[in-house]
Amino acid sequence: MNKYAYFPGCSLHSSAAEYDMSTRRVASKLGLELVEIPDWNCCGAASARSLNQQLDLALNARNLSLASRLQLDILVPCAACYQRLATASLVLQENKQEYEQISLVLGEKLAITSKVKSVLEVFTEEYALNILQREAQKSLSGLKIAAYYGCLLTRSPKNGFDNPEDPVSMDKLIVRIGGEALPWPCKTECCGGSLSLTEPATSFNLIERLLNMAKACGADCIVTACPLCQGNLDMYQMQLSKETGKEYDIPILYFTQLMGLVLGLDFKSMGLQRHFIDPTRVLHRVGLT
Amino acid sequence: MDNVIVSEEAIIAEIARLAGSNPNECYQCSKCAGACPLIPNMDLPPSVIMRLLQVGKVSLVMSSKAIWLCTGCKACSTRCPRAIDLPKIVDCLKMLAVQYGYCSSEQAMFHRTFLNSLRSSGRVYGPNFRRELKLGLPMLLKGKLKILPSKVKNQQQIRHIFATTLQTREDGVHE
Repeated sequence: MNKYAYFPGCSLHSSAAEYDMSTRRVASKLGLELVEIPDWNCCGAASARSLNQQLDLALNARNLSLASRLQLDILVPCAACYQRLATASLVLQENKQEYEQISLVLGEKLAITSKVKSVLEVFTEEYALNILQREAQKSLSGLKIAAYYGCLLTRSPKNGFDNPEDPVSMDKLIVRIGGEALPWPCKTECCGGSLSLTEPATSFNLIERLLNMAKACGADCIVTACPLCQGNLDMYQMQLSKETGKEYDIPILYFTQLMGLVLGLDFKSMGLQRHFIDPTRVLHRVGLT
Repeated sequence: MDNVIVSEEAIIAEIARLAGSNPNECYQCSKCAGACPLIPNMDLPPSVIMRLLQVGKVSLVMSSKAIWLCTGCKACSTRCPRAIDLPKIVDCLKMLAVQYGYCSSEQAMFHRTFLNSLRSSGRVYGPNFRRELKLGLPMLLKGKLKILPSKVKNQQQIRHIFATTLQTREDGVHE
């Protein structure tokens, strides 16, 4: 299938617009058509599931139902949205009681037929990698990359697509387009998510540990597949430099942005100027800008 | 619900039912505590939370900081040899902690603000949340804040979802 129901989620409409831009443009290069789910709503993130689990389920059921009407599988870039949608889909399929209750809440007999897939999963399928390799105009050669999956992407319920302890899909992608995927121990460590807003000190410990480890492993940049990870690691480096007296300046990129550059798309159309830590120098050194 | 007297055992049974996962299954191997990235900041490690639930001390757990530090990253449940869904149990603990008036955490306030924002437009955008960290202006300059966010058109359905899902009043999400 080369057509998907696309669920951008709130972050990709605001703080992570560059993930949206790069996902859409790379999808088109890979021959995938994305149809944005009409009138989608927020997945509830960590807030709905923490305060009201039925609300969490109902919000996600609405999106699943809207996508199912398109008769397309769902493509989700944000790891947090992906986790909520995939979890809800599983619960609604396996738990008859929850299914009945949520059908009542939404006032419709829910027919959920769409599978929930992450952009990383679909963009690293073999046919996509083949197109990528064939159409590549540049290479990541010379770039040392820490592939950072974050916690939510590969620890999905049963239907996860990669190994939850040692995922490899992003590493394989990097190698396929000439980059060096570094072995590093923080692939699936948590970035703290929304703790950066409420418990900054705690959250900074997690962020600092991730950045230090990437640096110690010799990474030129960290590549992510989640707007929360990208935001936390990118936006707080300046503050962290001030507080610790150490210099933090490691670019945090979306894997889709690197795919775009390799496919010949330019810096600006990948939204790379939108990051707090300017990736120009690192990308220029290896001929990607 | 402050005046309703409910036994700790009844609350724990409710948690197990809601989470579809039973804390009594835990045999205290502490793999969860080893996996948890927030462990240096937790007043109760996840394995201790499980033990306290086994011996009926849910009020101690509901008043802990630990449940609000949990990000739901699933490192614990991925490694649990008893396949206990700890993050789901912790979510239920958070929900009941708010309902029974145990909680005044920043994180709970954040979740309420988030849900109120979701309720009013069906989508949630950043401006409300970045102010205190002095990131508002830099984010604006990078085009990371949306001034006129798009809304869900079917507002009626969003309101209906909020109105009909359980615990809507108790979790502090109001009209």
